[in-house]
Amino acid sequence: MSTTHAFVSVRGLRTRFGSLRAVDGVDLDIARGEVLGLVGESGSGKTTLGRTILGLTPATEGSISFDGRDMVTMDRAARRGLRRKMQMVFQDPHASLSPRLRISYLLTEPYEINHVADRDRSSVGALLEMVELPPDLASKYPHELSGGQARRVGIARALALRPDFLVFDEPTSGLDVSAAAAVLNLVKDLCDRFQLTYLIITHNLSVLSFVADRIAVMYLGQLVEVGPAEQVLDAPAHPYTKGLLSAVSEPDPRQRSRSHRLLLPGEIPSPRNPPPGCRFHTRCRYAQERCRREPPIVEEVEAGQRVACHFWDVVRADSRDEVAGDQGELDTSRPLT
Amino acid sequence: MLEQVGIPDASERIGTYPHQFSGGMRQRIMIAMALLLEPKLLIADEPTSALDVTLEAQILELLRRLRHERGTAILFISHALGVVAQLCDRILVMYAGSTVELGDVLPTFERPLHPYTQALIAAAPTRGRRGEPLATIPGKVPSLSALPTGCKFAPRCAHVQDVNLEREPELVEFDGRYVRCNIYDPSSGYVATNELQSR
Repeated sequence: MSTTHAFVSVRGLRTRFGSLRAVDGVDLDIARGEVLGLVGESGSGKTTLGRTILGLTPATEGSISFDGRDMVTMDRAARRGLRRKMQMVFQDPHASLSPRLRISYLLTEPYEINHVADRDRSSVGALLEMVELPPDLASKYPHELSGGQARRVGIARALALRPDFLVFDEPTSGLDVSAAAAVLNLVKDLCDRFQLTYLIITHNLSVLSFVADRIAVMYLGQLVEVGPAEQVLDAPAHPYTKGLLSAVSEPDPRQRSRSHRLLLPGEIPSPRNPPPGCRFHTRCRYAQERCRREPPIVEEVEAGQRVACHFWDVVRADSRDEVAGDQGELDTSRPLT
Repeated sequence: MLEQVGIPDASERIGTYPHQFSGGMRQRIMIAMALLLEPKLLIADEPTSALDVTLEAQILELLRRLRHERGTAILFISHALGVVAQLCDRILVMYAGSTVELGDVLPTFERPLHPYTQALIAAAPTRGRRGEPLATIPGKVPSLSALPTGCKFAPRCAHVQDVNLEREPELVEFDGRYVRCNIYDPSSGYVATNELQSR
C-alpha cells in the first residue's frame, strides 16, 4: 500500500493534554476503501488518535494528510471543506444526540451547519432508509429509540454529508448480541455500497475479526503492531496483541483453555508517566533486561506487518505453535459440568 | 478480603475513595463486599459489561478462583455469550420472562435446541467465522405488558408454524436438557432446519 498514495496518512503524530501524552508518535496509513481497526484498552489513546486525525482534537506535533493534502498546514476554509468528507460516529449515541431535538432535525443539522445547498442534501427519509430505519422515526426524540436505533441515527447523521472517511468509536458498545450484529452488518454494507474508508476504534477484537481488513494495536499512545487482520489475529507478533486476544471470551466452550494461557496482568499505566524502555515491559511475560532500558524500534516482520518488540520472533513463533495446537483441542482439566 | 480479590497494596488503600480506583478495581471491590459474609451463592449481574476485555478476563479468572477455593455457587447474569461459554457450567436462556432453554454449556453451544438460542449464538462474532455476515433476529423483545399469545418467541422465530401462535409451549426435558418449543421434536433431534446457524 506504500506504492499508491495513502488516502489518510499520519506521520509523527503527537497529541498532548498538558503533561499527558495521549498520542505519542504515531505513523499510520489508511488506503482508500480500507477498513482499519484500531484496538487497545481504555487509556491507550485510541479515541484521541481518531479525534486528532479528524481535527476534533488539535495535534501537538506531526502531520495528517487526507487524499494527499496536508490537514495541519491547510488554511481554515479549505480544512472546513475537507472536514465534511470525514466524519465521526460517536460512542454513546444517547449522549451525542441532543435529547430535545427530533430525529428529523438531528439529521438535517449537518446541512444547516455546513450551509449545504438543497440539491446536495439527502432527504430525512433517504437517510433513515440508508441505515434501515422506518420513516416514522423522523418525528421521534432520541429517548424514544432503542440503543440500536440510536446508533443507526448516529451513523445516518455522519453519512448526511456524504463523507469518504468515517471514524467509528466503539460501534457496538452497550448493545446486546443481536442489535450489535445488526449494526455491524450495516456498517459493513455501507462501506461496500458507498465505497467508504473506515477507522473503527474498539477494545473488542472479535468485532474487528468481522469487519477489519487491517488491524492496528495501540498501547500508551503508540502503535505496537499493525498488519493485515488475518496475520494479526492468527500470528500476533507483539505480546500485547497476544494478551488482548487471549482476553477475548469466544462464544465457544471448547476454547476455554485459551483464556488461561496468557492473561494480561495488571492495568495500563498512566500516560503521564509511561514506563521507560518498552512501555509494555511492566505487563509483559516476555520482558528481559533489555526491554526495561531500550525502547524497541518498529520492524517490518512480514509484508505489511509492523511490530515494535525486541522479541517479536519469539512471540510470533509461540503464536503459531498455539494455533497449531488448538486444532480440536479441549482442555479436560477444567470440568464443563 | 481486598487482597483476595486482587487489589495491590490493599492495606494501604483501605482509606481511599471509590473514585480513586479504576473501573476494574471498583468491580473487584464490589465482589469483595459481596463475599464478606461468605455467601454460598453469589449473584453477579453483568459484572463485566462496562469493562475492557483485559479487565473482563481478570474478573472472570477471579470468579473462577473463588468458586474453586470457596465452593461459592455463582448465578452469572449476562447477555455476553462469550463470557458464559468461558465461565459457566450450565446456561439458562430467558425470553420474555420465561425459560426457553436450560442445559449444560457445552452441548447447548454446540447444538442449541431452541430457535432463540440458535439465533443468539449465530449473532455473536467469532474469529472462526471471520467475514461472514452475522445472523440477526428480526423485531425486538415484546413488552412484558403486551405479550403475544402462544409461543412468545413466535413473532421473531425463523421456524414458526401455526401451532405456535395458539398454544404456549411447555418446558420439556430431553437427555438432561430442557427446551420450550412447540415444534421441537426429540425423535429427529431438534428443530428441523438449522439455517440460522451460518456455520
